[in-house]
Amino acid sequence: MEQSKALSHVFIKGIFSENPVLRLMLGVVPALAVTVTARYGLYMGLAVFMVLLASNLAVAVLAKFVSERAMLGSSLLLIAGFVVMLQMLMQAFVPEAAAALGVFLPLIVVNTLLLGRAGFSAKSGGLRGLVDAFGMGLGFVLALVLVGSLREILGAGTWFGFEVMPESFQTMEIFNMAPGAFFALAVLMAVANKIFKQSKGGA
Amino acid sequence: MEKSGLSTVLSLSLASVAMGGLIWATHEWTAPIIEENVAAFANSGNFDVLPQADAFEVLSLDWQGETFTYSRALNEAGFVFEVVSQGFGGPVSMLVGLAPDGEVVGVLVTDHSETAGVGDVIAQAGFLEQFVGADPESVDVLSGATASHDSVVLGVQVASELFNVVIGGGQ
Repeated sequence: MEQSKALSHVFIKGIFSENPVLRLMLGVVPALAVTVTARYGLYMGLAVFMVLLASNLAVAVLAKFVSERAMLGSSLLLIAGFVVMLQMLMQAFVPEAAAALGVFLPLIVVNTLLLGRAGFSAKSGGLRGLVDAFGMGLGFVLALVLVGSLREILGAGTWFGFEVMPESFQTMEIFNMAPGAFFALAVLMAVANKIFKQSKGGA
Repeated sequence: MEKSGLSTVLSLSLASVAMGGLIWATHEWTAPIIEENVAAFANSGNFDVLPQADAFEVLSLDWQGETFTYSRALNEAGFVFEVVSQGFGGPVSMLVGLAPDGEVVGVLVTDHSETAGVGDVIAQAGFLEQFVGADPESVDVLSGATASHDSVVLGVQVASELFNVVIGGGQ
C-alpha cells in the first residue's frame, strides 16, 4: 500500500508540482524553440516522451551492472541511441512531424530532461524510473502543448489549426517569434509557481 | 555497493553492441520507407504548380553563368522551374509551372525569410493565384512589402526567360 502510494506520487508530481518545464526548468530549449503552434508542441512532447520511457528503463537496467562513476556516459550512450532510432522511425512513419521538428529532432539528445531523469532512474530502479518517465513525459507534453497553445492562439488566432478567435481579433506576430516564446513560457511558469508554492505550504 | 570494473566494462560493451544492433535494425527497416517519402515530397511541389502533369524528368540548364534546375512533364503538360530571387529578408525560393505555350499555370513559394505578417503574404495562395495566366508586371503591388512582391515578380520573369531558352533549344 505504501509502495503504490509512493509510485502514484512519483507519477503525479511529474505532471504537476514538479512539471519538468514549468517547475524544474528541464528541457526549456525545445519548449521555446518549436512551440510556434500547439501541434508542434505536441509533436516534440511526444517525441521526448518516447525517448524518456525507453532511456529511463534501459538506464535502470544498466545501472545494476555499471559502476556509478560510469553511469553519466552510459546514460548518454543509451539516450543518443534511442534518439537516432526515433528520428528514423519518425521520418519513415510521420514525415510531417519529423519535418516540423527539423533540427530539433536530433537535438533531443541534449535535452536536459532525459539526462536529469536518467540520473533519477539509475538511483531508484526500473519500476520507479518507468513511472517517473510516464509522469515527467506527460508533464513535458502538457507544458509544451500549453506554451504552443498560448502562442498559437495569440499569434495566429488558431488552436491546432482551427480558428478560435473572433474575426476582429488582431494577431500578435511577436508570439510567432522567439521573444514571444519567452513571454508565453514566463507567464505559464509564473502561474505554475503561484499554484504549487501555495499548495506546498498547505500540504 | 561499488560495482567492479570488469562488470562495468563487460556490461557497457554489451549495451553498446545491443544499441548498435537496434539502430542497424531500425535503419534497415525504415531506410526504404524514408527514401519513398523523400521522393514523394520532392515531387509534391511540382504537382502543385503543374497539376496536369503525370510524372517529371528532372533536368538542369546553364544560363547566364548560373545553373538552374527544372522539371519537364513527361506527358508534355509543361515545365516547372526552380528559381531563387532576392526578397526583403533573404532569398525567396519558388517553383513556377509553365504550360507548353509559356503561360503561367502555378507559382509556389517553397522557402523565404520575409517579415512575418507583412512580406510573408507572398507565400499565400491568394497572392500567388494572381500570377496564373497573367503578365507578372500586372500583379497588384503589396503596400508595405514592395521588395517581397518584386522578388516573386522577378522569379516568375526569370522562369519565363528560362522557358524561352529551353524552347529555343540548344542555346
